[in-house]
Amino acid sequence: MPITAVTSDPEVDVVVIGGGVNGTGVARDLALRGLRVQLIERHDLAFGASGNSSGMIHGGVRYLTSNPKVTRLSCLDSGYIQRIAPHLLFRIPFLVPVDRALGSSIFLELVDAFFGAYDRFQPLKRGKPHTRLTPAEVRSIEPGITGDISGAITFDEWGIDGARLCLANALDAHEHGAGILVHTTVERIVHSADGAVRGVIWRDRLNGMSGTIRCRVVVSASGAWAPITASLASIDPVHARVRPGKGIHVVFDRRLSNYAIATYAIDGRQVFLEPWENVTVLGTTDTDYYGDLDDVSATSDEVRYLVQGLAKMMPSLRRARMIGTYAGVRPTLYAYGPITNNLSREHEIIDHARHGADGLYSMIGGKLASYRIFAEEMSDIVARRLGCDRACTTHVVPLPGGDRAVDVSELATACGIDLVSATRLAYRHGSRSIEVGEQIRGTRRGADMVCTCEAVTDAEIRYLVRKEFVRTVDDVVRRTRLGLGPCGGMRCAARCGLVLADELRMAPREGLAMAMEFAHRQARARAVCLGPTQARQEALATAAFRAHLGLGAWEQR
Amino acid sequence: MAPRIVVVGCGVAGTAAAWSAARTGASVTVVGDFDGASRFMSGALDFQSWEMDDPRREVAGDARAFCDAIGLWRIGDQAACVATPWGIVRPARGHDRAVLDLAASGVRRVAVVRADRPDWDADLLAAAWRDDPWCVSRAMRFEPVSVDIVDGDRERWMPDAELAALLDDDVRCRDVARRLRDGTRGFDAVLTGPWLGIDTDAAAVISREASRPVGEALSLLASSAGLRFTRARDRLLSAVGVTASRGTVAEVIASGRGVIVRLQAEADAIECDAVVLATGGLAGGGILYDPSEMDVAPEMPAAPRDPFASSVRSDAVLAFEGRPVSIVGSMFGLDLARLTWPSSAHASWALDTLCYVTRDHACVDRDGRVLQGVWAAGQVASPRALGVLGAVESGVLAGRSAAAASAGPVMDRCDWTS
Repeated sequence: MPITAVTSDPEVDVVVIGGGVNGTGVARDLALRGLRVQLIERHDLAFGASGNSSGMIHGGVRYLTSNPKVTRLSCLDSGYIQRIAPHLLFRIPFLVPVDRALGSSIFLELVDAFFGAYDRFQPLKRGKPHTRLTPAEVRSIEPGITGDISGAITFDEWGIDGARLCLANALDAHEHGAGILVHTTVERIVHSADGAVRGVIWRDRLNGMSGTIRCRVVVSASGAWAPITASLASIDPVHARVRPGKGIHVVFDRRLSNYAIATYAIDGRQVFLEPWENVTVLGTTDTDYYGDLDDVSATSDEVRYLVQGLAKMMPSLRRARMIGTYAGVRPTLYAYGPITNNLSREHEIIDHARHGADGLYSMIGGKLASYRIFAEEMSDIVARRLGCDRACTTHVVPLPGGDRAVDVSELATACGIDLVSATRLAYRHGSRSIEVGEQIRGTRRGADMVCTCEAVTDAEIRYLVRKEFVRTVDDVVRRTRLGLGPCGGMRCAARCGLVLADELRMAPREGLAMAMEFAHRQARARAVCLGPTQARQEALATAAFRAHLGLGAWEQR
Repeated sequence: MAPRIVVVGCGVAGTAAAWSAARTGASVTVVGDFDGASRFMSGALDFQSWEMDDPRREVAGDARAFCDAIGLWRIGDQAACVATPWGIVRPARGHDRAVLDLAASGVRRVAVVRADRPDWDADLLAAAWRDDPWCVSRAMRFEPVSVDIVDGDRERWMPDAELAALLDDDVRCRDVARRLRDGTRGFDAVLTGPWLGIDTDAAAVISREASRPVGEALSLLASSAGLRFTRARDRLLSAVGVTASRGTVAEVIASGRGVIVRLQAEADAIECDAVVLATGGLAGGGILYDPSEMDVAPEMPAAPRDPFASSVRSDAVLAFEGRPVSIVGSMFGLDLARLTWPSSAHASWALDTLCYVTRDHACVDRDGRVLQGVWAAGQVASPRALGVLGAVESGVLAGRSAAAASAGPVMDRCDWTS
């Protein structure tokens, strides 16, 4: 239904819907070109696929044979991301053991040749060329691998914290004039009778406030929510459909291996175990998803499928301690017929002018590694339409914190925290960690470690509220990984809630209620991977919550 | 000859069982190997989860006598109100004597002592307690005050219980008392972290000296209340003539004429007339989650098995969600999603339902026959989460029954469906 926006409503050039890597990437690109942008996110930045990925800017090696163009683009852009956010990247060397059952040494030759071809793209992302290892060499570098193998190949990828990447993009957009609204949903995309997009009606999901923003262009970068977003403009959702593919990951309590290990699950799909930041991540599944996108969680079936896949190569994995799971839904390009694993990871921009919403675009598909190029393509279209002739600079302008390296030991001394904590701080914030450090020094009890698993201080939480669009405990968790360690938030959740409430000038109970909500959600994510040690830990955590917060009945008291 | 009773486990339930059996004249030995869930006690005394507890419920009979005997806990006629280190105020049937009862008469203006300790932010906590509806309704005020009671870096990083133990020293205790008295003038009561003594009633000494009630908020990890309990337990058991020995019990065999308790470390076994299993639940280590899927195997475990096991081998059968534990219809194990934490206040956590199948505290075997001389007490005998008082109640009953029944055999059979 056409509605006329009131002329006194705030006006921007572009509204971007979705705070994942594509949305924040587009917002940043357009803001750097001088356009006025408003980003609106229903939950939090990186709530969906971007914050629940495998955490790699990988070079698209799996598309090497089917679509080398994707591989080349991925590698090229991985190189750019390294240039603009060096602090967020860490090298993940991969090991691909070749099962002898897969057919003698000929198969190893094939794998060798395959990665030889991949080597051609490696210089684009400062990757190292592959090597070939004998079974003895494999056992000496990864003693846990006990399967019958004919050898192994190594290759090189880069790890990244997807949530920090989204945040860095949003932050830069904001610093270039863009507005960032989180926990705010778009209720309608308003267009005039002739179909021209006029603005959006939004509602804050935490406080219920609503309003209208006028604009000339709306970019839907809502990932798997794309058809829902399109329907808000009263167009048929099939015009923005995706094939949602659920992927889960299992998290182990420490780094279990020196290398990431890629192998095959029972159905022949590739699965992997990667040392990632402080933990080890096991991934991933790819199944059609019909459930609620706002509430995606792993099941024990999915966990067992992954564990089985890796345990075939590394049986001791069954005894390792799992401390959590996470799940997300990929916005894969739509196709009816192929199994999920064979679906394209390419991306596509849909202009909805021909569907009756002129000025509305949907970004469909894509992957973490190629977000920047996707955002550039989208921004070129928007800029042209709005008569802006400035070129994209997102591949050369550093993201916030990525401009220079930080001397970690200096940082540690300056703000009175230990070296490990300072290293983690510098990883998260890059050169901005110096600002956080100043806050640590300048805040009463600023250096108190609220979360000791991830070394998150009182002052950092306050900094996040002031600078990084944080409104709930879960938002803090996405930005810092607070409470995701082995203790299950037993130590830190309540304190984090209290600090947050203090900083946001809310009643302390509201902070505790947020902590409770986080604790419940995490308990569910942990239950599906419960093992012997973690079960006892879980019982202890539950007892602590019960004794000190109760089960939350006080909320109604 | 006096009946010989062995109690396995030395938490609250095991101690209560040993004490009540000893009172009947039995010869009692406690075998325990490590600190279980009781060592993590918060200092609040409840029958079960406090939100579901009835704060008016009476602590009577042997349970009351045990609480008096251990000499560590305060149980008033009315429910107490205690502050948690996570910023809320909650009712409790009783509490550790060092814990401050906010429901005591005349408590309106409470000083919260600032201390340079990483887990204690007095300003933040005072703001949270002030905001509690119960405190608001009583117009209670919490104000942070600076009183120097933590000395230097060493004490700053010490675990709570270790810091508390420093106040067992009389000189230090009186010094802290003077500082608190001078630093909290005009206040009705003083709230500190769980640092007020372990072997002595430092809270009472300080309260007297400061002439106003001085007490703790509840303990979190490295619990002071838990350490106080273990010390008081040792004193009590030796006072009533119970032999306490360290060791891990591997197996309990009911022979029909008596019970054989086999220890892990020794070839020898203890022969006795009855045994009370008070080994704790999942958190305490009495019940183990040990599913077949954890077997180190490339593809599939060698055999399916019960996902839960008691830490002590015996014929006694465990139940989960009201049914005897048995092999899961999967080579891999349970659907773990059902183990998740309940989100409503009245639902219970599936793992809390794990316990021995008992009939009046007597264990039964897979066929529902009462196992001669094998009894269970505490969390391992309860299908819901117990508080300290729940464990006491269960312990005194099991101990007394075990001692009484050892006089003569009891044959009985129980029905699953009942």
